[in-house]
Amino acid sequence: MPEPTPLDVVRSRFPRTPDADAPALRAHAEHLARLRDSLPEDGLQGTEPAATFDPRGTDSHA
Amino acid sequence: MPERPTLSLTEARAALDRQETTSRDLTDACLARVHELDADLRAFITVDADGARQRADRADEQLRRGERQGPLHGLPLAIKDNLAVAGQVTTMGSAIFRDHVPTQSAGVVERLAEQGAVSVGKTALHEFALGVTTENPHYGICRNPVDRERTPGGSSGGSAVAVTTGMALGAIGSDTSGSIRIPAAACGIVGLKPTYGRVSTHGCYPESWSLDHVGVLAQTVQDAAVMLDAISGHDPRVPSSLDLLPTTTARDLPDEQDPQQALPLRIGIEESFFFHDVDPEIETEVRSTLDALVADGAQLVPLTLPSLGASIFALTVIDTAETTAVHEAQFRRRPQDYGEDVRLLLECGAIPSAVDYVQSQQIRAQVRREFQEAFAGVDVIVAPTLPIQTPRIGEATVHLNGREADRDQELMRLVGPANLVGLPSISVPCGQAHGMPVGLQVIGPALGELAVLRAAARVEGLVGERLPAQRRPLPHITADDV
Repeated sequence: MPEPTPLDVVRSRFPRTPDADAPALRAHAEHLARLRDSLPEDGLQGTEPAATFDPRGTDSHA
Repeated sequence: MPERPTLSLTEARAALDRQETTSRDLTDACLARVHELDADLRAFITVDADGARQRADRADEQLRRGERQGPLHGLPLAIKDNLAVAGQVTTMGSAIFRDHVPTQSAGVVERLAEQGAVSVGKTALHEFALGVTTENPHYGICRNPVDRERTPGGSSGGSAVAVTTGMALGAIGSDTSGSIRIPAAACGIVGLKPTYGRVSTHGCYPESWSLDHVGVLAQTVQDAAVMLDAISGHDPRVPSSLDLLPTTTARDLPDEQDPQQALPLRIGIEESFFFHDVDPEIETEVRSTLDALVADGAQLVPLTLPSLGASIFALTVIDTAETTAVHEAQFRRRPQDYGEDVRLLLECGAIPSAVDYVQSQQIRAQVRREFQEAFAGVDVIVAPTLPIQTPRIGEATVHLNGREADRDQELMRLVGPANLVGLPSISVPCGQAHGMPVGLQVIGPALGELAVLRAAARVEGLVGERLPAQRRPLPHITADDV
């Protein structure tokens, strides 16, 4: 089964996405992939969570 | 370029105190500038001339009785049109909200009203604040008054143009990826984004919850301090609002021209991100300003922030994903009512994965730690605000050091990190390049608005003579003078 294109991914959420947007979406996905590939792995593999919440409700951040 | 205003907000306030002018005169002067310039520059979506005059007359009546609501009493200001004003059309720069009349005002609008400020109208913005040029398909193209063929930047472009031209003595903006500091730099004024949670975002149409900040655009650093003090403070309606009293920066800001008051200033310089691939003329202006600061006694401290490069990925993911989450239901129903560039942005927000988003939060935590460590040894960090010269209107690709680059990514590149980690940041004019203003960005530690303003005031004092169209206080101020 072929991998979904960026247009497919976007249309799964926004079905009315026009065909004309495909090149820009592909370019953005490629840009994002390049940025992702450039990330240092050690910054992403920590065991400490970056986002926490307070169950008492005094901090709404999830 | 239209003549620059000759009167700052602080000077206008002093003139009001001395009874040399009236709120009505100041307001009429601003409205006259709107009448003269705004058909072309399009700084405003809505001008409330009658309401402004009524508020000004009321402010004058109170002053005659010896009453003053606050430091902004009687001063004409402008408000970005993504901030709700009860009973007045608030469009968000969107066709969908063309006739939207909120029943409740934004937190900052309430504060301005409590202070007796006179709102002259709602300023132009990029559609939903989702862009950095203020080229709006529904309300027109906002133009840079320094060169009308160039963008004023965005998304708070209208607020910047209004302040630059004297259509208002100060303005409120919002900043998610540089939307106050970009237009401030492009137009040659001061733009301050405070610490995340310092100023209420209640009633500000969200762009990206964890990156959104409300702040000020002003002619001078002192004006920015006065405005920040007026709008800052806790708002229990906003989950991220910091439970702190309003700032007192205008009172605490030392007179940088007075050697007795001038404090030592340690400036952190991070070269590999903030000075990488910057337009040579802009870099020259910023470095010559740093030289002037050193000659004036400041100390430059080299430092590293190793994860800054990764912040671009984190900002891209967090901004687009949160934005798309905000708009999803509305965008599904009414995609045809969005402009082309904003439609594409919202579609792009569907591309990052959940893993991308969580890892972006981890990067954010790492970058925040690195900034925190850096601020143990310096008072502020200084960088160019923009790495590129101000783009021409409609120019989506720019040339930088022999390569083609995406305009929007370049405009946001150096200002975005302060949004990612929520640190206070200001853009202050420091010179000219390619005939356009150059902004110098000062970033401070969390809650370090005073440090940021202090450094910016030092820059303002040192480079003021180099800047064009100097403002001069007037001995007697009337509507014709502003």
